[in-house]
Amino acid sequence: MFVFIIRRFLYAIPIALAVAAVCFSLVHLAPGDPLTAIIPADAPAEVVIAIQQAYGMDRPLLVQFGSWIQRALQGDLGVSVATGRPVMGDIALALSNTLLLAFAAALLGFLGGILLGALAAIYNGTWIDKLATALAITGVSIPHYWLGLLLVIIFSVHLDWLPSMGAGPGGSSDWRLDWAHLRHLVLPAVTMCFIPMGIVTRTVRATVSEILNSEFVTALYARGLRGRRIALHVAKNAAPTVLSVMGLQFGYLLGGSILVETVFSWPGTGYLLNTAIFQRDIPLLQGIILVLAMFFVGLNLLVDVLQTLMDPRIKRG
Amino acid sequence: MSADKLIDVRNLNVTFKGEEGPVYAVSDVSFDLAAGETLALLGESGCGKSVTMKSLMRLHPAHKTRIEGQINIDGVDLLSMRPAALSAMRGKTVSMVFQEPMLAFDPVYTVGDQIIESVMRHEGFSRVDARKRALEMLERVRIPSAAKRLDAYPHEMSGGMRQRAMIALALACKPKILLADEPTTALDATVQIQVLLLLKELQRELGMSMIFVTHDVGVAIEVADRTAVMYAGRIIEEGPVDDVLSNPWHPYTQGLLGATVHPGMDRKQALPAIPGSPPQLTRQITECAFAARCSYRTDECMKPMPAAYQAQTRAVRCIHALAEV
Repeated sequence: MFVFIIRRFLYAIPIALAVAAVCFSLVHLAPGDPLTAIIPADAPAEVVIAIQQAYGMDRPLLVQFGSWIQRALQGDLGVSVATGRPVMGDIALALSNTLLLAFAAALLGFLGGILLGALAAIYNGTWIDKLATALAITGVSIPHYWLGLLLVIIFSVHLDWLPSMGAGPGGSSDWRLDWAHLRHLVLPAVTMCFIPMGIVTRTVRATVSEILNSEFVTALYARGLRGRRIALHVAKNAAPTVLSVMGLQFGYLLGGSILVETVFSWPGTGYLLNTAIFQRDIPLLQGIILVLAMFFVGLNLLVDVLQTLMDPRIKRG
Repeated sequence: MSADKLIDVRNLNVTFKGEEGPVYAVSDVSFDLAAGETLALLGESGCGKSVTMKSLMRLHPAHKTRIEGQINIDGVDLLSMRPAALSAMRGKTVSMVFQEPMLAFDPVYTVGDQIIESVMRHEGFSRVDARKRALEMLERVRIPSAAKRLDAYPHEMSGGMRQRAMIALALACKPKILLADEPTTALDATVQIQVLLLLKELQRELGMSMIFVTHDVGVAIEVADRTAVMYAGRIIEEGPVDDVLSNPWHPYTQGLLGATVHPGMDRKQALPAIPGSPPQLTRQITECAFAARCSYRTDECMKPMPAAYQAQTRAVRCIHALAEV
């Protein structure tokens, strides 16, 4: 088992490197010079060269990549072109907000999805199944930025129950566990939970109904087992499949919240990414994408390891 | 209904509610089983053997199945049992060995844990004691290095060993009745014999009754005291296994035996087969279900069937056989 984890970890390294290379090459793929944003259009040539040297843009690409990686590994992702602050600090703060939102949305979505999916599988073919399936399809089909706007109109504008902007009162971006802050979390988390809920519902429904129809469940009944014992067997069989889907969905929640964070002005990575794009802040952009991509790679690694721990049929080592 | 019978089934009808109308899977089946006795349910695929077996533990999904008739298990009326009593009976009084052990074991639990779970459920043992019983059972079915196999997953065992483990699981709570649903069909020939002999030996040691479902005439002769031959959801002939198979009365049983390979056969001779195929069970058949394929058919055969003809230890459902006996 230990050998398997080490090996799986080693496999992740080339993936991470490739992702880093893509992030790095963004600078050169994007039209225009990354420094045009800070160099005045009428700057003399020697100033341009001096600035290029200051940012290390005059060295060969491979050398630039090497030193970028080296610094990234030490937690230094460069300095924002727009604000002059270290990119890492901004990202860390934004990431904590995004993680918070993703956890809240995942909690709602996964719990709801497991419940709906399990009910649909147990009451296969009945109105309960049809209702759960309809909810799942609706959840997956609704564009979440539209849903976000709708919720804002209903709960913030008309009912005035919940705030629609920011992560805390007075636009504070550091988070505390109290009602004043929780209120701000409700609408974006609810908005974001619908897609993972729909997808988890469908996965759980398909997996559980397949398991319920398999012969070993009949055999469990034939041994005199009932209700909770059988549910335990079914859950343990369904867990690897459902877990891998959840891992993927959590990754999407981390990376895919740009629109929702923008709608709710949630100070997370999506919001920051949006800002970076509009300000052509390439170091910031690179940093965010790299960090999010690394989270994705890490998450997949975690899911793989957990899956192997749970399903004895997956070969280890 | 006699009290000394462990199983007494009278006029059992099992109907599945399909999307395209009902399927009459088992029709008017009656049989019984005495203590220590082995009955072989013999017949081809789809004749209702397994459906009958599953009915004896009410394992069919309740909302899709209608079971009518009388089933008495160890003196208790099965069809009126409450869920709690039913599940206490399953695996304790009556236990089942399935055809495909790979499919009948939960793939993500070790074999040992599944036996332990059963023993703890029915015998009220502690985990430690249940583990001892599980080990004892694996040794009893002669699984080599049983202590190690206790922590093996089903997919880590060979087919023969898996079926032995399945038998260990089924017998772990010392049931009075063992239902064996084609337990040797998925195994290769040499392992088949070993498992058959093992089952017979364990049956003798534990004093169990056994119902053995098979399509293999040779297996039936090997294990059973009595046999009931099934066709199209009915028992068409029943009696002591040696009598029935050495002197079959029903034309279907005759055809079935005629289509069996036996030693001393001429190799060049083609194996005779019964022409046609079994009837669809989507309609209620009142006439003789075999009439369409039978070479003795007369107009009488197409009229509603009388009850089975009983002659001492044997019974048969054929009006022509009646005339002969």
